[in-house]
This record gives sequence, C-alpha cells and structure tokens, in this order.
Amino acid sequence: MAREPREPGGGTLHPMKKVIAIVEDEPAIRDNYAAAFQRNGYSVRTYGSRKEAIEAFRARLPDLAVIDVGLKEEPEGGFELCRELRSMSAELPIIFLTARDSELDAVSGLRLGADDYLTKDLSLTHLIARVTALFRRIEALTQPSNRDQVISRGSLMIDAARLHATWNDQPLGLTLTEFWIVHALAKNPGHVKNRQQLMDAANVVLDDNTITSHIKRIRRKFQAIDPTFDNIETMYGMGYRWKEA
Amino acid sequence: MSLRTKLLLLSLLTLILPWAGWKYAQQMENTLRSGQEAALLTTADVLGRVVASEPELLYRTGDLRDAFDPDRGDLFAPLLLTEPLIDGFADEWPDPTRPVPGFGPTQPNAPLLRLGVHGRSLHIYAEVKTTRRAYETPTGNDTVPERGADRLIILTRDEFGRERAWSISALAPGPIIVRPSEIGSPWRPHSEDMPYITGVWRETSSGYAVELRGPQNLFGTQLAVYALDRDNATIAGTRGLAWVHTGSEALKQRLEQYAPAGVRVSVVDVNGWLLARAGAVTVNASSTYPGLQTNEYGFMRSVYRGLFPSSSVKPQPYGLPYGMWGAPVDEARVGKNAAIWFDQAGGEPSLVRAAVPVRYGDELLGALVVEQPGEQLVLVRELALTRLLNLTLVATLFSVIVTLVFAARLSHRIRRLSRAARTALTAEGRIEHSIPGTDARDELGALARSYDTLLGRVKEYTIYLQTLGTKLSHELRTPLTIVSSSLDNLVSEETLPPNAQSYVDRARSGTSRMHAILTALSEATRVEQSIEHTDRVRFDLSELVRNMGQAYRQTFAQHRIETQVPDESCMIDGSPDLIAQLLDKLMDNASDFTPAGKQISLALEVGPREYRLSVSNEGPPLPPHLNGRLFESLVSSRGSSDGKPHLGLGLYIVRLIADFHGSGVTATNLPGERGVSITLEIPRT
Repeated sequence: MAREPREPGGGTLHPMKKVIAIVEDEPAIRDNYAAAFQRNGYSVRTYGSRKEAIEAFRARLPDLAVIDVGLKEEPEGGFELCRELRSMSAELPIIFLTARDSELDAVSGLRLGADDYLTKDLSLTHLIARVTALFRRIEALTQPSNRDQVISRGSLMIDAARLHATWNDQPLGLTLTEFWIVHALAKNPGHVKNRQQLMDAANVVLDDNTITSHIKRIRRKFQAIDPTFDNIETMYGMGYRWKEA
Repeated sequence: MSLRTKLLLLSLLTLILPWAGWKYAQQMENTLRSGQEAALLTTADVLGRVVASEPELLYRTGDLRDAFDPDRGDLFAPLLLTEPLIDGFADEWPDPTRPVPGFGPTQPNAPLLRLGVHGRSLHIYAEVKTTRRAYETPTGNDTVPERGADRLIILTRDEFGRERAWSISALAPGPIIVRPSEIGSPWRPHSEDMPYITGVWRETSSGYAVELRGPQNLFGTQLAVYALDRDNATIAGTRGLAWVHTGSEALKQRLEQYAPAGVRVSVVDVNGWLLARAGAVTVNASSTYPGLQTNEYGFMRSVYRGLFPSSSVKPQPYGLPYGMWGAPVDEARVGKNAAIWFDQAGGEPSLVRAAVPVRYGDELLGALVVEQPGEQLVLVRELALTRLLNLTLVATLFSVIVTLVFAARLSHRIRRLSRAARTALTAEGRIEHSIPGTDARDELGALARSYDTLLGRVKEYTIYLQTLGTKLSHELRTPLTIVSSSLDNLVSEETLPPNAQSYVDRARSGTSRMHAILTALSEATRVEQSIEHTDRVRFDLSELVRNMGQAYRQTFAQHRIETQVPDESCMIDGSPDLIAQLLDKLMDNASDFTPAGKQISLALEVGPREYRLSVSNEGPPLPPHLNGRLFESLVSSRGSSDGKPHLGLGLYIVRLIADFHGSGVTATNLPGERGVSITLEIPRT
C-alpha cells in the first residue's frame, strides 16, 4: 500500500534510489503504481497533469518517466509531454502506460522516442519487471559485456545483459518488448514460439494483433539494415520462428 | 401499378370531356332536328290543307279519285320532271322499277310500255319484240294498205265515252305516221294525218321502239295499246281499255305557287303514286353558310363521322320519280303525321322528309310529302362536334402531357428518395445519407426532410453504437486498472490473511475476463485500423491453410478437424496474417456451434476464376431471421452465455478481411441442414 504517495522533497532524501516520475491523471492508479514502485525500492514522484509534471521536470529530471497518454483535458497530453521531455534529455527512459491499446497510438508513442509502450492491462509485477529491465539496460550500456549472455546467430548479436541487439554490427534500436521477442526467437532457432510464449518472454499482455504488429516492426528494423532479411518466419496458426540462414 | 401509370390513367379521365361534348352535340342535334321536323310538319300540314281545299286539283277527273288499281290493269302516267327527247330511246325516262301492268320486266317477252306526262302532253314509249319487221310501202295515192306493215294501235276513250283509234306506222326508221282508224277495226286507217301526235320509230335489235307525244286531253281517260304485225296479228297489248292515271299539272302549279323555297313538295295518292311534285332539294342552300362549304376539318370530320355515327338517320332509298313508298309516306297514307331523316344516298343530299295525310272530309285523298335538305343541320352538327372534339382533344393531350410530366417528375423524386433511403446504409453498415430534394416545399420535401432527420439520427446512433465498444473498452480500462493494480498491491502486503488469497485469485480471474471482453469490444476497430496499414504480399494460400489446419487439430481437440487442400500452390495477393486471423474467427465461430466430437472441415478448392476457402461445421443450421445480415456489425445469433463475449463482431471482422481481399463471403446451410458452411471466394490474380 502506498502510504506516502508523494515523497516530500522528491528524491532528495534518498539519493541512492532511482527516481521514477509517474504522470497519471487518475489518482487511484497513480497511487497504486507509486506504492508498487516504492515497495520495490524506487523513489516515486507523482504528477496529475502535464503542466505540473513539466514544471517539476524543469527543476529536476527523474531517472525514468512513466506517462499516461491521456491527461485530463488533454487527450494527447502524454505525447506532448514525451516530446518536451525528450527535448530536455535524449537519454531519459520514457515508458508510456496507457489505457489506449490501438496500434496507431503505440506507433506514434514509440516514434516520439518512448522506450516502451505498455497498456494498463499489464500487471504491476510485470510493470516492475519491465522498469527493472529498462534500468538494467541503461546500466549495462555503461558496463562491459558479459560473454555468457551474448547470443550470436549469424549476423545477429544479442547482448541480453545490456539488452542490446545488432545486425551486421549495426545497432537495431529495438524497444524492450521487441528486444525480448527477438531474444525469445533467436535463443532457440527453428523452434516455433507461439504468441503467448512471445508475450511471456516480453513480459507484456498483448492481443495477437499487437504481437503481429510488433513482429512487423521488428522485421522493418532488420530490413532497414539488410533489405534481404527474412530470418523471422511466420508459422500460420502456430506462431513464429527464427530461421537459420 | 406505378404511380406514373396511375396518374396517366387518371388523366385519361379528361376523355370524358369529348364524350360529354359529343353527348351534348347529340342532344343539340336532336333538339334541332325535332324543331326542323316540327316546322316541316307544319309546312306540310298547311300545304296539305291547301291541297285538300281544292280536291279537284288532285285528279284530272273525279272518276279516278279512288279507282286506280294496278291489279285491274290501270295505267299510271307519272309526271315527268324533264321533257323526254322524242328520239326513240328511253334514256331520259325514269327507270321504272315497278312494272306497268301488261308491260314490263315481269313478262320476259312482253313489249315494254311507258307512259308519262310532261306539261300538257302525254308521252308514250313502247318497245315491241318481233323477228319480222315490216314497214309500210308508200302507195303514192291516198289509199292506205290494211296490212303488210307493223303498226301500233292506240285506243282511247274520253270521259264522255267517246272512243278513238289511231294507227301508228312508219315508212322507215324515223318519223311515225299517225292516222285515225276505225274504232271496230283499227287496222283500217283513214288516210288523213293526225297532226297533233308526233313520234319516232326506231329499230332495235329484237324489234322496234316507238316514242311519241300528244296533247294529254286528246288521249282521254282510258287507253289501250296494241302492237300488230304485218298480218294484223296482235303481238302484244294491254288488257283492253285501261284507266290512265296521271299526275296533276294543275296541282303541281298550285304547289309551286305555295311551296317555300328550298323544299320539295310532293303529293301522292293513297297508293303512293306521285300526283304532283314541286320544288327541288338540290343543296344550294348551303351557300348561306359559306363556312360550311370550305373543306375545313374535312379529314377530321370524316374521322368523327366514323367515330360517332348519326344514330337516328337511316339511309333509305327515295321514292321513285312517279311514286313514294316506305316511311314516312306509308304512315301518312293511312292518316298519320310522320317525319324521318335520311342520310345522303343515291345522288340525293341528306334530307328530312315529313309526310301528312290529305283529307277531304273524312276521306283520305292521299299524302303530302315535304322534303328539306338536312345537310345544313348535319354540317352544323359536324362542325360543332369537330371543333368541340378538336378543342377537347387538344385539352386532353395537354392535360395528359402535363400529367405525364408531373407524374414523371413526381415518381422520379419518389424513386430518388427511395433510392437514397435504400443506399443510405452502406455495405459496411455505415449510414452515409444524402437525401435529395430536402429543400422542396411540398409534402415530398417534408418527407425527404423527415428522412434526412431520421437518417441523421440513425447515423448518430449507429456511430455511437459502433464507437461504443471502443469507448466502453477505453473508459472501463481505467477503473479496471485501478482494480487490478490494487489487487496487485494487496497481494504484496504481508499482512494478508491466508484465506484471502483465494478471493484475490477469483478477483484476478474476474478482471482478466473483463480484460478479454474489453479487448474483444475494440477488436473490430483495431482490425479496421490494421487493414489500413497492411501491405499486400504474394503468398501461397494452400500452404497457409495446410499449416492452419494442422494447428487447429491441436487447438480444437474436442472436434474432428478435416483439412482439404489442393496439392498445387494457390498464390494470391493479400495479407497472410489477416487470412490467418479470418480463419481463426471462422474456426472459433464454427467450434462454438459444433457439438463435441462432430466434424469441422476446412477446405480450399480451386475454381476457374477463384479460390474457394470454406469452413463447414456440423451443427444447427443458420437462423433464418439473420439471412443476409450475418456478416454485419453487432449482429449475433447467439443468445446463451458461455463465458466468452459474443458481440456480433467475429463475422464482421471476417467480412472486413474478405473485403480487403476482394472476395465475397457467404454463409449457407449444408444439405439436409446438417450444419453451416461459410465460404470465401477469393479471386485468382
């Protein structure tokens, strides 16, 4: 339970803790999320509107921002906030957490530079896991790679510790969800992963359609580097598999 | 019957106008006719009284008054209208259709005898058939041979009983020689000439003909004619001395004196024989109506004459030149007034004939007949009728055209309205209305406006319904998130009582079901969106179906899944993901309706122009009330709840995907209503 929804003085009292900003107009959800994050050792600051949030961010940037797309009177306020936040900091991890589940919203959110786009169907446990993974990736980027966690499949290199994937030594720029999907597929080449397995791997709750669009987006990212890429194979009615070249 | 036809038929009601006009014209004509009849009868009555006041004018002799009897052999000499030329030919004589007793066509070999009166002369024409013609030989002196030549003997007796006899012969074809002869033996002529009687002797192919003329009073009242051959044998003859009846010249003069212009007055005796006639009915009277003479409306008039025949005018032959019979003269001869109209016939104009009896005391002397041309009236009637008909025809035509145009416009507007109403609902279940004619100020405009308003409302309502799912799922997601995140937090609390875990699990399963429902609610919208962003690729449909069939065998283990796929590859342009999604929906749907253990067949057939992809399942047939609407949005035939949301969107998604691939989708019952088959016809490209 969130006993202190708003930490007085922001994260200054606990300098060691990561500071997560939650921008959410629904107090009950906001408080629930805050409680969950605090329980997992994060410092949480919560804002109910874009204005409130942007003012606080100007004073001090959090370590991670979880933003709802629709903010009170502004149905696209989250997108706007993301844009402003991205202009302040290119590295700040941003996660969209929204009730909107349309593919269009997800695409526009990710295009704005968000690191992940999650629906509110996601359980708190999963959310915490995603946030932890995100922090881990950021940390991993600054640390040397651990060989054990590197998977190499032809041109593909996946560093699970750093949550980093390259094709022909070029970074693919996958989001977290996309990364875990590619990871799940590439770990066992030739094995068919159905949609549920992919969702579990990525720690997301998505419908089949969204998985399809994720796969589509992943393929595009590969094809941006190598137009002949066709290693992700669709097994209709079953799922997808990594095809060895 | 269409509105146009109805209005057209209605406009034909204006044809009543010419009919009414015709009726009116008929009435008018009848009135005019009876007026003319009455006037004519009055004239006839006056003239009849004039004649009756001088009965002696009727006959030359009083003895003849009622003695004429053709059966007795009485002769009749009609008044000739024109004076015959004395030439031995009977051309100018009126053609007798009634035989003169003793002569005439009823006796084939009998000589022909004709009598006639013109002015104060009696004309006689006789034809004699003989094979041995003989002419008189001139002797050179005053003696006359008694035999050796053909001759005609005429015996007469005047009112004083004095008898005379004449012998008529000729030296050659040409002028006749008339000599008085002895009464007892008329073949013995005297040598003296009869200067008052002139005539001509002519040879005919079968004998000879004699035409002669003499003063009427010379012939007396009784007459006999005999033809003798050269041996003085009788070839033909009348039955002794016969009474000669003839028209009265004095009466004729009297009638001419009294008869009004433009009418013909005839007096007949009780047997119908003409006694006198004055005046003429040649229509020069129409010159008083110059308009009638022109051939204006000539053609139309003949048309109307055919269309509207005169009802009361019976074409009947006129009386003969020397007698009048038939209506209305017959009525007058027995003492009744009558008038009748005659159409034009036999060279005579259309006329009205009125006949009144002529009485002397109680005694019926004969009948007076007045005839007047009816052509004027007929012309007036026809002219009025023609003008009326022309006018009403134009009026009818005009009203028919106006009605037709109006009806066409009206029905066009109604059809446009009905078409607009029919097409307002698009195949996708959206309302895109553009109702025409909403600015018209009449009832149709009001109807169009009502339609417009109604469709506008329905559109709003439909849009609301269609977006309800998405809206609902969006709006419900937030409270649901509150519930689920609170549950998540609750589980993390260490102080949770032990038995609370099961409640939390139940609450969690409830929320996950709600999540599923919300996802289903917005699924169709998401499919629409994803279709918009889908690129077409070329892929093998048969491989896809084969793979899907294998996968379904595991997914739907409770059913028997049959897959029929051709060996050849079936390449189409489209989205394999969407086709897979479509098959998922169809299989889900089929599975719901198939009892456990029954068969679901997935089949791909290669048609001449299309690939037929079908999913058939055993189970209940299609509900008839959903016929044709099965693939519309928010239509579901499922009433029972089985835990899964049935929002009537599954088959709608199927149709969206089918439309994307340009294929038709139909649902049919399997033969014998064993189940249902849903078939896609994907065109081969």
